[in-house]
Order: sequence, then structure tokens, then C-alpha cells
Amino acid sequence: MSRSLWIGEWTHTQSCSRSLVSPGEVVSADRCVGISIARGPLILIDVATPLGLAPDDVRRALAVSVGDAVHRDQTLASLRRRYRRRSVRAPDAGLVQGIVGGYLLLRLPDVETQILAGVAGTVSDVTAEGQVKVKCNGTRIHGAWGDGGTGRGPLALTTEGADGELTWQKVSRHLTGCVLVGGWLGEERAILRARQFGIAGLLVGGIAAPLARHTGWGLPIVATEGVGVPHMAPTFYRALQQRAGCVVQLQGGCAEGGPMASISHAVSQGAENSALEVGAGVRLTRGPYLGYEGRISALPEGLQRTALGGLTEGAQIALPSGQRLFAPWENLEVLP
Amino acid sequence: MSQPQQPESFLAADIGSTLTRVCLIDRVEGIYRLVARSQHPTRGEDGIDAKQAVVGAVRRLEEIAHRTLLDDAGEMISPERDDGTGVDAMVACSSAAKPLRCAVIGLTADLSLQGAVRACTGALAQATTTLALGALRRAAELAPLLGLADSPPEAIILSGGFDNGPIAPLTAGAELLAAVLADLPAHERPVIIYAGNQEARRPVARALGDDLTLAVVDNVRPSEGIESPRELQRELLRLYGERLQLVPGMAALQRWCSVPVQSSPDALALALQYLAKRHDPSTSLLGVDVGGNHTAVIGVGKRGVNLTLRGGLGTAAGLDGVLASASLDDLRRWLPLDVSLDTLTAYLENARLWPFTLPQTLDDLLALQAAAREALRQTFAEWQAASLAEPLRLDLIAGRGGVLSGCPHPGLVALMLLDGLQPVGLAQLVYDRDSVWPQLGAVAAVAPLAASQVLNRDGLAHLGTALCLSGSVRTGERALRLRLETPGGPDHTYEVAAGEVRCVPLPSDAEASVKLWPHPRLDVGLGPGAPAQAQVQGGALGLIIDARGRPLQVSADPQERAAAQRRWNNGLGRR
Repeated sequence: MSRSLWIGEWTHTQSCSRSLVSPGEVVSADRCVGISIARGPLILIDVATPLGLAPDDVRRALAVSVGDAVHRDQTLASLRRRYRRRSVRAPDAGLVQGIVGGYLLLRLPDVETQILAGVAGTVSDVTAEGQVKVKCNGTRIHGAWGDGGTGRGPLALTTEGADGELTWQKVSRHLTGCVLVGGWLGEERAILRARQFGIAGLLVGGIAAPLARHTGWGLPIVATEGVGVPHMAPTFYRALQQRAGCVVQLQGGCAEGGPMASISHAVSQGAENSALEVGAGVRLTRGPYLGYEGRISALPEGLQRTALGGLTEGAQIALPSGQRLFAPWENLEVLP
Repeated sequence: MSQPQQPESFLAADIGSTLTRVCLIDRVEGIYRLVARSQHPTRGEDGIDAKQAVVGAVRRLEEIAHRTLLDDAGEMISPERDDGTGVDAMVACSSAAKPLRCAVIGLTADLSLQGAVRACTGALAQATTTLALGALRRAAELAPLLGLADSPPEAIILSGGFDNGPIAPLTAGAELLAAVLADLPAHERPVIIYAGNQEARRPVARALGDDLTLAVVDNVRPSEGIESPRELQRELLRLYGERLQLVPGMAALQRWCSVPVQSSPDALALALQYLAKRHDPSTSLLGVDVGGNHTAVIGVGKRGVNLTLRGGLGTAAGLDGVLASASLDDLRRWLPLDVSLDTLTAYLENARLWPFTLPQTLDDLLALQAAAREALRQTFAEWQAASLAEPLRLDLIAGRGGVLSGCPHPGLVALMLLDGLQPVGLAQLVYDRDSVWPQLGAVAAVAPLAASQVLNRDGLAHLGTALCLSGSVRTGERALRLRLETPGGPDHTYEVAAGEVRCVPLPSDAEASVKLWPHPRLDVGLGPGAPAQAQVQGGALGLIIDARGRPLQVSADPQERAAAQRRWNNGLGRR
């Protein structure tokens, strides 16, 4: 049984090309723990056509060879034709990777990015593959739906409760740099305004289907329950409410590990997720009860007949409304 | 691990990308039987671990079968002990590794490129980039080639040119490729598979240089009208096998197994071959597998096995691929309810986001089945295009996959197969209700008798025989008159109207003779209007008569369409 809400100790992993920390070091969330080096783009420069040469004749006009480092505007090839000298120049600095078929392949310089720890904790391991593992305490939420990269900022609750909509009116300029929390997201205007005001990210329970159909909104968005769900699971909302003002690391769908929100804080003992037994709190993870919470009221033995007529194992759940229903194990998550 | 000569008991595992399924096979009164089965998510909180997933499923199996299979350290007990703990042997197959990402570079888009792309779909490989060198004139057009250096695939297939044709374009392509890949770190360099003009083998090898790994196979298009994909497919399957070994936990799991872990599509193909032989050596079988992240169509006939696999197209994570390749309206036409596009999006997106969960409402279930129909339809169309020489006679249609085995009513399973494949004539329909076929294919590698006995006794759910008419007549007109003659029983005559699907009861173990008189414009396989006579076998639905015509027409009007779908569902007993 998966657990999307975790309160306790966990290991947060960041991947980089070169680490800048050692095991045992205590790091803050905004500490740079490593450098990620992405190879620069490879570009193809047509040498033959501007010089009016056949591809096989290009070599006689070349001013550089494979392996040469070139600077911006450096002449790569030139040829005197009648009274004019024609030349081909480097559009950027780089390394000549190859010359073939009338083209020159130029590798532009590597791009370095600083990788922050993301959470406060202690470096527990640095692997040969460049993974920095940080052991930390706090709250971690795995989202269901996500978009965008990574954002960091203080948690700001914008809705009264877990079923409130994060409307565009709730996105204001004084929240710049914050991660906004709401029950659900239903209008495009709220996202556009958040991007315009430099909001660090949006953390909601559900997202409306028309918004979920698009990606590339330009800021990290995480929905904990899914698409078309008009609320956040109450336990998740309460966990975030208790941490209002704390810095949260929000990673959208494009980040490694999928959509996630991580908040570092001290954890008192006994906050572990409860066991699977009668009375345990559970979250339902499939419609029509997606994002609902209840308590296990009975654990029937063996296969049970579902409302659709299939046979499966599961538990009887009592919802706060008094309604009782049977849910397959696959559709349940134990809550802390 | 020492093993007895004749294993009596087996554990067989199928490690999928979403779920790992394990079954226990043992001899009961001298015959191999399926004792119990279980499943467990393949992905744990720390990602995929094949061995942990199998351990999780086996622990569950121990509870179900009341039999100890693992010791306290979580290691398999083998061989089986006198007290009944443990098993004699374990076998496994897996599709946990994603299909091999391939770039296909050819000279022309219509000949060599298409042949190589088709070969990929039959060899657990996915052509993520295709490039026709002959069409490239400007630097901008070569951008996809540069993309190979930024995001290298696992293999690059270089094809093109008939044997004895010109060599220069291929060597120029190889030189360009070598230059593009020159500065890739060794572990990122793709394997180059050369499947072009055989005369150009040496010049191409020289142009690629010593830093790239080159595998040379037969030309996929040695001359006009001849396609020779087998050797290329063998090489791709070998690479996939290597990749499977890299799945976390697979090497540890391998130590438990009597034989190397197979790919699940290979194991399934073997089980389907058994299934085809069980009926009649001349049977033409079509197997379909709608998985969470891939859909496969496997033909088994006189010409051997013909596989088409579409990665990223399925009913869990693969819903992404379905939504990318089909419009919501395409999916909505399969629903017996008039739902909004937003509601349909929510059903499918949430099924994708929560891949281990099960539908709890009929609408949710039907939305998933609509996606399965679309995945089937698309993969079957690709299979047909790839099986150019294969005759399209389908005697036996064998379906499997979570969306079928988890379906609470056989009528819905039959409709998914009929809608997705649209067969014509007579075809028996069976499905893998217990999700054991790939495991049985894996068992067949060490104990063919066990695989065959379990498949015959426990592994088949018979839906019945489908009789599908092609052609088109006005809805409501009489499409078919048939007389059903059962040995020792009374004869029955039925009339079926065009546009309807219905079933005639016939138990699974019963056979009957049918005489058919179709409408003059409808065809049961012998030509329009031609009467026919055949022997049919029963099943859970009996004789299924699909008089909706081919190609299947679905009304554009939402209410009319929903009403028709409801009628078809009801016709097969789902009310």
C-alpha cells in the first residue's frame, strides 16, 4: 500500500555531476550541494553553400580543424572568389567536433547549474554516480499530478478549507515568492496571475480537467489528489496548515521523482504512519471517492464482491458522513 | 540450486511495468494444476525492484495457498521439502524494461525506413526518431540528427539501399553519424545496427570508426518487394534481453530461476503457440495483450509468430499514449453514456495517475475500456500493416491484460475484442481471466507438459464463438437467419437484425452445427449473401452474433450512439 503523505525521517536525493559536500555535513535547504553539468548544444554550420563549394571541396577553404576551440566570430572557413573574400564565422564559442559533407559540427560550451539541497538535513551519502543523499525530518507529500520544474518558498494557505478553490482573486502581489496552497484549481486565470506575480508554485488537491490537459504552465504545480477532484484530502490540508510559513520545496511533473512537496521540520515521536487495522485512517485513491478520507470499520476475510460485480480483497470504510463502503486494497492509502 | 529431474511444483512470475504476478503450479492427482495466484505492485517506494516485487507477491501467495514458499530471510525454499514447503523450480518473465529506444536512419522515407520501423514494432523496440537522409538538403533539416547527441537512443538502425546499389549515400550518412556521436561518453553511446545495402558493410564500418559498437545484420530491404526483418529483430531482441537484466533486482531474481528470465511478450507468444496447437495445427490465432504501459498483437499462423508491440500505449501509464494518439471524441464513441469531455478526461487521467487502483464505478470502468479499444485498434492496424503477407483469417482470438481480466462481465470482454479488432466470419474468443499466460509461457521453457496441462484446465476462459458479418445494410433489416443444431437436442432458428449484437446460449463444453443465411449484401466469410455451415463451440456467452457490419459504423449523434452502445452491451448480457 503506497503512502503519499509521510511525516518523519526520509532521504532526499539530488543528482548532480559534481558534488560539493561530504557525508556527515549538515546542510540547509538552500545550500548548494553540487553542480550539474549539461553538455552544450551541438550545432551544424553549413560551410559549403555560403562559399559556393561542393561538399567534398570544403576542406581546402577551412581555417580550423577537428578538436580546435574557436571563439565567437572566428573565421571557420574562407575563400577568395573573383574580387570578394567570402567567409563563414563561428556564431558562438565552442569546439569543432567534426567536419563532414560540407558541414561543420560545433559543440557549444557546457552549461553549469547549481543544485540546492532542497531540504535541511544531514548528508548521509555521496555516490560515485553523483547522487547526494540528505537525511532529513519533516513532511513529504507525493503528488498525483504535476507540471513544471522546481520552486521553493514559504507555504501560504489561500483557502479557508480543504475544499476551497484557489481563485485568481486569491493570488496577490504580496504573495510573490510563496508556494500557494488551495483545495483545488479551476481557472486558467489563477495560474497566469501566479506566474505574473512571481509565485513560486501552486500546491492544490485537484485540478480541473481543461487545465490538466495542458502542460508547460511556467511554474511548478502539484495536485495531491488528481484531475477533476474539488478538494484536497483533509489530513493533507491540515498537515500543510500546521506548516504555514515554513519553506517548502515543490517539484512539478518534470522533476526527477515526480510531483512532490517537501518541508523540513522537527518531528515528534509517534508521528509514523499507522498500521493497517480496524480504526486506521485511510485515504481513498479512486473515483468516485478520490481524495475522501475515512476509517477502516471492518477487515472482511477473503474475496469480496464489488459494486461492479468483480471479486477482490479490501476493507469496509466508514466515511465521516456516516456512509459505509467497500474499497479494494488497491484503492486505499493508510494515513499518518 | 539442485533440482529434481522432474519438477513437481513451480513458481512462475511475470514482472510487468505496473504489477508483478506470481502463480503456484503443483501436481494434483497426477495432473499439473494452477493452485493459487497473487499480484503485487512492481514499483515500491524506492522505485522498481524486481526481486522485492516477486517477494511481495509470493508472501501474498503464501497466505492464499497456506503454504510456506520463502524462508525467514526472504529466500525461496527449493526444492520442495517433504513437509510441502517450497517449490521445485521457479521461472520468470518480464516486461519491466521499457521498449528499446531506437533511431531509424534510412535513405528514403518510403522503402528502407518503413521496413526498419516495422521491424522495430515486432522486436520490443520503439522508433523514437526517424530520419531519411536522402530528403535532407539544408542544415535545419538535419536537426533531428543532432538530437541524437543530446538525447542518445539505445540503438541506431542505419538502413537503406538495395543490395548492389550505390554505396556513397550510406557512407556519407555513417560519417555524419560518427561525427555527431563523437564526444558522447562511452556509456551513453548507442549501438549502431547496420541493416542496409550489404555491399556497403565495410565502407560504413570504416566511416563509423572504432569508437562505436557496430552490429551488421541482413538488409531489411534487399530488393524491391522483398522485406527481410528477421535478423534485425533478433539483434533488437538480444539488446532488449540485455536491458532486462539491468532492471533493479533482476540479477538477484535470476539466481532463483531455473532458466534465464524471458521477455514477457516472448513468453506470451510461446503460450499462444501452445494454445493454437491445442485446437488444430492449421489454426490461425490472434493474441492481444492490453497492458498498463504497452499493447501487443501477436499472430500465430502457418508462417510462424508475428508480433507488433506498441510501447507507451495501455490502460495505466500508457493512457498518456492513448490520449496523445486519439481524440477524446474517438474514445467517447465507445461509451454507452453521454459524458462530457472533462469528465472523460478526469476518468482517464486519474486512472493514469493512480495506476494500481481499480475502477469502482461503471462509468470509470467503461472509460478505461474505451481506451483499451483504441489501443487495440491502433496496434492491430500496425500489426496488419507489418504482416503484409499474412492472411487475415482469424480462427481464434485470445485476449489478455488487466483491463480484460479485471472486467466483471464476459460480455464486456467480448465487446472490447470485437470493437477493437473488428473480425469477420467465425472466430472463437478466449481470454486470460487469471492473468497467467505469460507465466505459463515461461513454464513451457522447462516443463512443456505442465504448461500445456495448466493452460488446458485452468488457464482459459471461453467466451464463445463470434460470428461477425461484414458489409452494410440499413439498421433493423434482417441481417441473418441461422439454425443451430445441437447433438441430441432440439434445433433452434434465430433471426438477427442489422446493427445488433446478441448471443445464443451454448455451454462451454458443447459443440453445435450452425447453418447461416446472411442478407444478400452481408458476408459471413464466403462472399456476400452466400449461405454457410460450420461447427461452433460454446462458452460463457455461447454463440455471439455481431450483425453490426464491417467496418463498424458508430453514429455521430451522442444520444443515438450512447443508445446503440447500451443495446450492444445488453445484447451480450450486461444490463
